[in-house]
Amino acid sequence: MISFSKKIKKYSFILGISLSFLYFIHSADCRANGESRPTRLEKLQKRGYVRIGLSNEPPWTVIDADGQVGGAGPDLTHAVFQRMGVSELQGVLSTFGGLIPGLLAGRSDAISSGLFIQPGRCQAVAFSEPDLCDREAFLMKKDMPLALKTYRDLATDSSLQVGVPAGGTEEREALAAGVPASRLVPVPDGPSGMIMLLAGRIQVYSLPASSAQHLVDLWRGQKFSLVTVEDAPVMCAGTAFSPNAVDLRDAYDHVLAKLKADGTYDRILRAHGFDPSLARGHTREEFCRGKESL
Amino acid sequence: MTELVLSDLLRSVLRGLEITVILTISGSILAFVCAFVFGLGRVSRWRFIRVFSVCYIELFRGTSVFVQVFWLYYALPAFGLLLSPLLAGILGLGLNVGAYGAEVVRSAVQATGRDQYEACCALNFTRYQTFRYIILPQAFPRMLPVFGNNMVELMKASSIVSLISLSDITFQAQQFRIRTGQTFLPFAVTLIVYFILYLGILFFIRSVTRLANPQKVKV
Repeated sequence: MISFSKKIKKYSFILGISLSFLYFIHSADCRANGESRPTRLEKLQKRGYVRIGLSNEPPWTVIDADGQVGGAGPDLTHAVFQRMGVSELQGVLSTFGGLIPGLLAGRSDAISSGLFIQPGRCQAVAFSEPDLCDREAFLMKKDMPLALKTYRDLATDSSLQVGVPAGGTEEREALAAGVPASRLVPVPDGPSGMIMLLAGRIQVYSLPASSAQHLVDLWRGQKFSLVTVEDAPVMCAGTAFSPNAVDLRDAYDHVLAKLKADGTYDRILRAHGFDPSLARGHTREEFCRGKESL
Repeated sequence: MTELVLSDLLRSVLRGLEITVILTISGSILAFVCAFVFGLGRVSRWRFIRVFSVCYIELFRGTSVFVQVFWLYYALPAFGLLLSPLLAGILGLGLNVGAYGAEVVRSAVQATGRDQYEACCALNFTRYQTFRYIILPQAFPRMLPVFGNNMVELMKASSIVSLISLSDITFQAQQFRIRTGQTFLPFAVTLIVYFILYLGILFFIRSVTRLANPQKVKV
């Protein structure tokens, strides 16, 4: 009898602990989701700086030895926020995969690092209208007698190992074109991809054209060939905001449209080697919906 | 051109070194405190403290330090707790290595002969006196070599903090690679710097061991 009541005591203790833990998690969740901040922009204006999540992806984002932030994405975002009355931009550096978790955890106010707008990401974050657009490219060693132009070409040649940026959109595109997952090799960063190409670990490196061009320039001693992929759609990056900062996003969009109209947008993109005409005619809607064709 | 690249590398490494050293020292201090608190907690007379200590030790030993740091940095804010990156890194590394250290403390304490406890009992020492004057002076030198190992492990594990936007040596080397496309140079320098740090820890542990030499303990 005594041991029985002891058991009850023990179990109710454990039950109590786990229930209170669940309650804690639940209430914390409610707090995180239920908060509404009608004055996010005003808060930023008052604070005087905006924290932008970045990963080092030249030429989208460039971080120099002293931690100074530049590159097409941050420069454009900085210009937009300056018009919104937030003068300073502060970079929060992380890995590419850590960008969205960092934004959702409140580590940054927005992400501007060449994050392509795509359906899966639209579920997690609120994108601005497209700002930086790019085509896809293949990088190969020049002495490789390969006539690759499309993702389907990759699917047909079963001897090819294909490098794709880890966490990038290229993996999805290649899979959709029929390249088996076993032949896709995730590449953590540009220089690693180049070394994998040189060492023969991969035969093709699939990545956005401007990143590819940057890498070819960096390896000017070596012979690489760059091919623009024909069956890949133009992909556009947007500045990403937390899902409960839609008002801030809307304000951002408003100013971005103004910059696109008065030529500032074109000037910033050209300075970094991007084609400003690519973004015209594309909308966030279109990328978030995903492509039924192709 | 080459000089420019070298000075760039040097600046990057020095900036990274600062973070790595801060993490290693603060993490080790936290780990040391945790090791003693929870290691002695495991042999406590009070059941609650024992259970609590076991929970802590097994939780932190049994899960990946990678995930722990990630959790501290990205998941805790959902509960309203926004730790700075440095604090999250120190906590993650210190708590993890502290769990290993706690087992070291426990085993060293338990490895002290039963006769020692009986002698203390015969002399009517309190439990505090037993531990403070008899058990710990014998157990502590036994812990030191393993503590040294743990500290080296902590120093090397500190490279995972690049996950949480802390720019340690490894992260700086990666950034340098992305900037310049060079791979051999940054990683060679990084290896050497880690090895120098390791030698520093080795020297530190040797010095402490000499101070705590069992032969010199007067019982």
